Parts: sequence; structure tokens; C-alpha cells
Amino acid sequence: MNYSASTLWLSLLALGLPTAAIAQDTPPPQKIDAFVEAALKQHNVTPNPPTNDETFCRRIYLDAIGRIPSKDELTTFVSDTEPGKRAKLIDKLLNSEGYNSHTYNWWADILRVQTQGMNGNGAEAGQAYAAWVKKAIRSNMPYDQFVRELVTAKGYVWDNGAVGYYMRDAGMPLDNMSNTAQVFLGTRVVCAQCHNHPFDHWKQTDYYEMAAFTYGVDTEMSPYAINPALEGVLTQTDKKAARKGRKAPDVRAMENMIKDILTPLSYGVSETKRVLKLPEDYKEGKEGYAGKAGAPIDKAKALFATDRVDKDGAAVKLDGDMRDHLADWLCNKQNPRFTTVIVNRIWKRALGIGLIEPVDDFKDDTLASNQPLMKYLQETLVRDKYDMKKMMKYIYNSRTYQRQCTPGDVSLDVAYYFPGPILRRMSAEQIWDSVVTLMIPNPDGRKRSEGFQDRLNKMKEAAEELKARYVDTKRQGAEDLVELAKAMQSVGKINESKIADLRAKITAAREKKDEATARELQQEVQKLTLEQETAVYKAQADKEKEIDAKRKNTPFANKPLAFDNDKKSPAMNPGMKGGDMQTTDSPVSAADYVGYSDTYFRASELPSPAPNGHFLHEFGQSERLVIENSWNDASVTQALSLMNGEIFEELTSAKSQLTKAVEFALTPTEKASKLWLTVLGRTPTDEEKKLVTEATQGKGKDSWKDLFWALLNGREFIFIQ
Amino acid sequence: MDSILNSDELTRRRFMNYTSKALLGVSVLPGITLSAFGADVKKGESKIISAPTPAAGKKPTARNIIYLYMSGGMTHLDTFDPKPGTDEAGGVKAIPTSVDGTMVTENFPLLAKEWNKVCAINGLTTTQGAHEQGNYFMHSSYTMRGTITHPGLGAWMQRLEGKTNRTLPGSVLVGGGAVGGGAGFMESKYAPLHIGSPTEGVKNSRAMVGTSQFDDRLMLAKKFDEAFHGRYDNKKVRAYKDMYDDAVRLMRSEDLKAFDLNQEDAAVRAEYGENGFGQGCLLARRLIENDVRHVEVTLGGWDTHTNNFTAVANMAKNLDKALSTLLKDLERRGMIEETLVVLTTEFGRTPQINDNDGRDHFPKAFSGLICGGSVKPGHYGKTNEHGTEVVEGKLGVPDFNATIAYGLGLPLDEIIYSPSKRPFQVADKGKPATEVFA
Repeated sequence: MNYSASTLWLSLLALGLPTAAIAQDTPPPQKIDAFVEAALKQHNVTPNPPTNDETFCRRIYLDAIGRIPSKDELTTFVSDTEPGKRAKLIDKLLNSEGYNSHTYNWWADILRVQTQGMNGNGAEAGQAYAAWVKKAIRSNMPYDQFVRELVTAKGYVWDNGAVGYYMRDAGMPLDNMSNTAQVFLGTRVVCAQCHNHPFDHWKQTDYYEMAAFTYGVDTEMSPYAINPALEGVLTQTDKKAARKGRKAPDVRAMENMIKDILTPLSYGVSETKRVLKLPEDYKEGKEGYAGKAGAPIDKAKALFATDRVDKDGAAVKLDGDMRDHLADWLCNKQNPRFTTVIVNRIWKRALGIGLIEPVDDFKDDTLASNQPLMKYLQETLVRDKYDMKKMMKYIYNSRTYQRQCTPGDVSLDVAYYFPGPILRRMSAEQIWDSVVTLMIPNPDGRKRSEGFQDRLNKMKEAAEELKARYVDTKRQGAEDLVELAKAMQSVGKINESKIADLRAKITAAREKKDEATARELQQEVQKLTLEQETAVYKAQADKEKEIDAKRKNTPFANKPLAFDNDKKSPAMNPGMKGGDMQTTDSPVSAADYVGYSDTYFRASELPSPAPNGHFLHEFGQSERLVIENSWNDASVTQALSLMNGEIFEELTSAKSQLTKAVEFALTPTEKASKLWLTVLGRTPTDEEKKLVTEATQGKGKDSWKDLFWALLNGREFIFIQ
Repeated sequence: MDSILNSDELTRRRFMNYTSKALLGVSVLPGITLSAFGADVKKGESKIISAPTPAAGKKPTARNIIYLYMSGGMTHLDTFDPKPGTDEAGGVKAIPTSVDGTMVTENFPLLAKEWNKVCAINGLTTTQGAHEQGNYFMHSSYTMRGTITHPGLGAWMQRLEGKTNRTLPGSVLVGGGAVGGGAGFMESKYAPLHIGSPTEGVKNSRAMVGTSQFDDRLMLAKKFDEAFHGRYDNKKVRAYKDMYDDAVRLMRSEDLKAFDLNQEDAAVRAEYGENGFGQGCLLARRLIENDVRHVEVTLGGWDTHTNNFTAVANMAKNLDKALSTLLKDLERRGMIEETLVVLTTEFGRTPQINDNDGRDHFPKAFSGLICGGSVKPGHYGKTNEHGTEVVEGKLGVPDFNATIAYGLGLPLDEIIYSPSKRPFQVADKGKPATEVFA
């Protein structure tokens, strides 16, 4: 690897960069500035002038908490005369509820969090995943722990929402590994999934050896994984077939039945010994794999070496849960790309463009536009034990961040040395959350109740009951299961001949075009089917009672029959430890929002992704299908939506915060001042005041709505300066 | 919920099973909804088919497409692949069409008379047995992946050939959401404009105030914006200015009338059928007339696990009326040769009728239609006597889409690279059935 620290420093010394001139004890924000300014000087770039308080305030609100400041928030800050007020505001915002909301949107885009059902899995798994991510953000979980918990996630959805990381990609274990490499290592190996990488040195076998770390992950636990004793018990039911080494049809039917009975116990992530095989069309040999199409991969191997795993290029032999090994290698400061990727993402989040672009396509020769700065940021993050919030705090406190943004185009092909941040269009979520800020009081405090938790609790109870009956009891449990399945199967067919009979009559009736009779008979069929269904449930219940009676000491012998709905779930993940920068906001009362439409929640509280046609969708929210897929291009539907959509009507209605902010102004210019502060976060210029006077002359008291329309449909509103 | 809290064992059991079903999409009950095929179909797998070799000398005539998507999985036996007299038919009869040797079910008496413009594709087969995955595959020719999204035909057409109408969008989707019919990895401008209901027109295209007040507002916005534009000579900022110009142009465009169904005679509207799908087909014709090249209209409700026969008869009534009218109308207006009308769905339904008088998912064999353009009327492909296997003219999803793309004269082998530099083709590596066209 040409990333080793020593080579890097040697090359820097060769370049003669003035890195040694920066004193060791300089605080991080100033150190960042020193590195940036050294590069600016070296490349003859003049830094942009500093921002004024108004511009800074709007920018830091949008960058740290994802929405514009309210008029009060803005004026409180601007009128503060204390010298350290910017640092104070940064701290306040980073520790506020708004930060959690905004940071969730960031991760939801990166991790493709879907709360509406993920790839065949129930919506609850997605919602539990989203809740886990939010909780990790709220506790400021260190990044290395965050990644480790995702990558090694196992257990039931109700116990560990992080399993969503795998359930999100259920049935696509190879794609999941490509995503892991892209998100956490900035490395694109996806091409090597099907053939050797055409633009990088990855071989298909590199890919497969890497994928072997997680190939055993199962996103739907099988009955045999749930109770291993089942294997022996089930095969006994048909000795003849077992001798022939295959499963008899009735064994397969029984398996399906047992799978159904145990369904709640399968809702999570477990490990199996499933073996990954090279594809049948595998051609391009690598040493040791030549001519081995279809052969099993018997060792997992990291993509590149670190001193934790694969020190001497030796592969890890597959044994048990390989994901701890994967995490040891991945989430490791020795891993040359692990820290770089997150530092670069955090930098981009603040300045609008990464030190390395694109952020997730690193090659061996990839260098940051400012290597000493990149190295310093990496060391700092490691020293701070991967505290992402601290890193953001340093960057936001730097002169570099607080400069005016660069006005012209910034091309990704030319190195950018950061004379200031770049001009950015707000993300879809930032625009929406700003609209919400104009509408409701305390936008960050409005939370949706998480109904999925109740449903998960019920699943959990069902799972616990099943576990006590059929899993903890080992072989006895397996035998009971088979007995139960047989009992259910035997009644499953009680009405079969009657139904077949009726079906023939229906066909006859249809042929005679006698729809009325056909429909009547059909209803009869439905009745019989329901009867059959009920009988199956009853057989299950009866058999369970019988089993319980036989096994006196079962914990469920005298269990009350109803679900206990009052029992609240335990914390999502009790082991979650927080850093020292946790959210300090006080909770908000739901009464604050009475009278406000259900539409106006911050984006983080809405379904992810928002449905087709929603404002968020129109402005480029990611559809959460591929990594970082949000976009910020202009589109006609956006203009139509801002010009003619219902949002304008609602924002100018009596209850909106915007209306409340401007309604008590007497003169047009006073009204304009309040309007400008509320919408654009600044006072109007003299030229603008003149335009306002002209435009409102002789018009009624509603003329401010025309002004607001013009601001809402202007460029300044949706850009971050 | 309360009733469950104080319920007996049976209700509790039912609830528990219902919960697992709701959460996991599985049934606890034996033999009722267990799909015989779902288990065999692996997600994310695709079959590589040999490269297309379009026959020389033939020239497809169509340049526009009306894509009718039967959402939910349309039964083939009860629509365009009749099996009269078999147990599987469930009493549904076949009737002759205007083309010798091609029969359809009795559910399509009107369409049968217009068969001189229709070719039934009866040998379709897919690898996807779940709705979302099947829908995505049909719309994009690629199976759903976790690492990329693929563009739909509307995006491909614009990317490969540009759009013809300057103010109207290049692709319009009427009704339900297509999975995988969007811009995919291509630029967002290729995404279809989505119209929820055919009568509602383009969302937010009407100003809330009178023209003069609207103009005043626009002027004011322009003046307020001058300083910002002056300060930021930036591509992204300029793009928004251009986009607002486009939006205002669209609002004022005569073409916007294309979306206004009130411009049609009441008699014509009635002929298409006074229902969402019928009016959607009428809207599609109006849009095609105005040089929108790709219009998709969705008809939902085909997921007939229960009461298949009643449901299909009802849906077919609207479909028969709308499609036969559409084809006649296109012919009357001299548009039929340049317009392909395609009808398709994610998969077929089991020939075997289930306990609920329904049919379950059946990816192995199903039917679609290709109409208009230079299509050779009749049918292409064949299933066995019970409709369980394709025995002739088998077309996988990429093959079917290659056939459509061929009919539209699109370059099948032109490679477009995704931003991640992966190569893609309009119908993956599908091989077109050129015999479908005359």
C-alpha cells in the first residue's frame, strides 16, 4: 500500500510544505486553518473574506441541524455581543435535537434506510433499523463502534435494530458486501462481483474471498438453526427417503409447516455455515483458483492487508462467525481507508466538497487535495476515539468554514484548496425542513409516535413463548413440533373433498353463464375454507394444551391467554454507550402542535423514502435504493411546486410561524424586514427596500404575500451561502 | 386491539399468525398462499442471453409507445391464452378473433374484432415471482440490485433519441407507480412526469392568482434575484433560472391542453370508458399526438389470489373497451403505424385454481400484447394445453423488451455507461423476436 504514513511524510518533506511550522498545541480549528492556508499560499489562491453574522448563522443552522433559523433564533444570535458567540452557537446546535434529525437524513441516504418494508422484509425491520440509527446518533456513538455494530449485527429485530443492515439486503449477500466496501472503505469492488475489475486491480476471487466473511449471514433463521435437534427428529419420519439422502415430500411439507409455526423466531439475523462458491462461469484464474469454477471458497481474506487481520497475507480460515474478524480488520485505525472515508465525508458535509472526490471510489493512487490536512484530521479523529461530533465542531469553528463561499463553479476535476466552502443547493430535506420551520413552532421537537415498537413487542412475546416451548426444550421440543405440525396438517384437509365438489359445480354454473349460482357457491367455498383455517388454529391450540399437560413444568401451562399490551419494550439496545456530547434538548409537549396539519413533520420523522410525488421526492430525496442517491438538480416540478403548490397557501395562512412573524408590522418596509429575516436570514438591502415600497404601494395588507412568493421562488432561499 | 387483549386462545392465535404474516409477508397457514414457485426464484439473479441479431431488411415503423401495465400479475389463461374445456380454464370460453387461427377468451369481445392490429405474445416467462421484483424486471430488463437502479424504457428512449416536444416532458406515467420505470442511474431529467389521475392534469401547473398578479410576482422575484445572480456566476444557480423559464413556459403552453380531457367530445370520452384506465388511455393518445413519445398507463387489481373469475371479468370489461377504442382511434387518426401499444404485467397466474377460486403467482409462463406499429397480427409463442409451460416462441423479459425496442427502432446494442462506469443496454442482452413484426 502506498498509504503508509512514512512514505507520505517523506513525500511531504520532499515538497517542502511548511507543516512543521504549526505548533503542536495549536487548537484543532486553527490547525485546520494552518493546513488549509499553507495550501492556499502554495497554490496562489486568495482565501475568501469572512462571513458576517447573518450569513454565518443561516449557514450553521442548515449545516449542523438541517434547517433555516427562525427569526428569533437569528436575531438572538446577531444581537449577542459576546466574543465567543459563534463557538457557543456551534455547541448548542450540535447538541440539539435538530442535529439528530439532520444527521439521520445524512445516514439514511448513505445506508439506504427504508422504513416501508425492505426487500421482502416487513416494514418493522426497517423502522427498527431507522430507530437504531437515530439512537446511535443521539448518543453520539463513536464511528468505529457504529460500523462494528452494523457489520456484526445479529439477533432479533426487537433486540437489535442494527440487523437492518443485513435485512435491508436480504437475499443479496454479495451486493451487501459491495455496499460495505463502498460505504466504509470508499472502495468500489462491485464490478469484481461478476468479473475482474476493468479499472482497478481487484480480481473476482478478491471479491469472493472478501464476501466469504459475511456469506454465512442469514436474514431469516431456518427451523434447523432455531432448534438444531429438529434435523434428527424430522429425518426419522421417513427412514426410507433419508437413506436415499433426500427429503420425502411429506418431510418437506412438514418443514414448511414448522417454519410457519416458528415464524416469529425467524425474524432476525443469524449465522449459518453456508459456503460461498465461485460462479459456474468463473474463468479468469488467480493463483490457486485456476480452473476452479463452482468451487467453494474456503477462506475469507481481507481486500488489503492491515496488521490486525491477514498480517502476512495469510488468509483467515472460515470458522464460525467471521464477522468479528471482518470488523477487526475494517473498523481499525490501521486500515488505510477506514478513517479517511469518514473524515472526508464529514469534511464534505461542512464545506460542500470532499478533500477526495468522489467520496467512495478510492484507488491505490488516490490522494487528498490537501494531504497534510487529511492526515491531521485522521489523527485527530483517532485521538478523539472516532467522535464524529467533535470533528464537526472543530471544522465549524475553523476560519476556513466561516469564510464566504466561493461564488463560481467548482469543478470536480480540478483540485480545490478551500478558500471557503462552496455554494450549495440545499438538500431536499433541508428545503423541506426549512418549510416546516416557517410553518410550525419548534420544528425539531415534533416527533411521530413509533407504533412499530408495539407490534415488535407482540412478536417478541410470541417468539419467547415459542422459544420456551420448542427450542429451550431441545429434542423434546423438536418432537413436540413435529407432533404439532402433524396435528395441524391432519385437519388442514377436512373440507378438501367438499371444496373440490363445489368447485366442479362452480365451473358448471359458469359454463351455463349462471353467475348468480357461481357466486353463491363461491361463498360456500369461502366459508369452508375459513372453517378449515379455524380448525387448523384450533388443532394447534389443542395440541399445545395437550403437550403442556404432558410437560407439567412448562412455563406456559398456566399462562394467561391474552397479550399484555401495557408492557413496554426494553431499550432498543441497552449496551449502547454515549459519548460526552449528547443531546441536551428538553422534551416538547404535543400540545404545541395542536391545529397544525400532520403534513408538517421534519423529514426524519416521515417515511423513508417519502412517497412518489411528495415535496421531498420532487426535490431529490434519495429513493434509498442505492448509496447516496439524493440529487439537487433543478426540475420543472420543483418550480411548479413552489410557484403554485399548496405550500404557499399554507405558509401564508394565519397559523403559520411566517405569518405570525410578519403580521404585526405596520409599514411595508418593517414588514419586509421581518419577512427577509424569517425567510432569508438577513435584513433587506436599501435597494430591496425600495423595490418593496414600489411593489406594495396602493396594495392591501396582503401584499406581503406577493413579496413572500417572490422570495420563495428566488434562488437565494434554496441555496446555502 | 381491545378485542384481542381480552380474547380467547383462538383469536390470540389468529392475531399472532396475522402479525407474522403482516410483518414477514408469509402465511402461517398450510397450503393457502404458499407459492409453489417463490421459493425457487432467487432474487438478484439474471440469465445471460446471447447477443441480439436483428434480421436484415426489416424496418420497424413505430416511434412512440403507449405502455399498458397490468399491475399485480395478469392471468394468462383468462385473457389472451385461452384453454377452453380444460379443468384449468375454470369455465372461461374462447372466442375467435378477426385473425384466423388466433383465439382469445370471451372476456375480450371488442378487442377480438380489432385483432388486425394486435399480436398476442403467449410465450413470456420471467425469473421473478414477487411483485416488486417482477415489476422492476419488466420495466428495466434488469433484476433489482442493491448497488444500482436501472432506467425504464421512457428514460432510455430520451437518452438514446432525445425528446421531440420542447415544453412537454418526454415520458409520462399515468396512475400507479411503476417500480423501476424511472430515470435509474441516468439524469433525473429523464424521469417520467407522474400524473396521479388522468383527469387531474399536471400537478401545480395552474397559477393560484390571475395572470397579471402572477406576472407581477414573477417580475418581483426576478428583481430580488438580480443581486444573487450577480454575486454567483454559477452553473447550479443558472440551472434554476432556466428551469423556472421552462416551468412558466409549460404553464402557458398550448401543449398543456394535451392534458385536458375536457377538450374531447363527451362521446369519445364515453367510448374509452368512464373509468380511470379508459380515460388514461385517452390521455395517452392525446399526449402521443403532442409528441410525448412514451406514455405508461397502469391498470391495477390483477393480483387475483381470490375470486379470480369475477374480478378478471370486471377488469377485462374496462380493458376491452379502452384498448379496442384506443386502437380504433389511433387507426382513424393515422397514428397506428407510428405508435406501438404494448400490454404487459410482472408474471402470469397459476393455471391450477386454488381453494379461494383464485390463481397464485406464476412466473413460468404468461401473456402480453404488442399492437400497432408494423406488428404482424395474430399471436406469437405458445404454451402447452394446460398453460403450464411455454412450448414455442419463449421470450424472457429482456427478449420481450428487446422486441419492443426493436419495434421502436432503438439501437439494441448501444452501450450506455452508468456513472460508476458499468455498461448497460436498453434491453440488457435480450434477443428480439423480429417475427412479431411484418
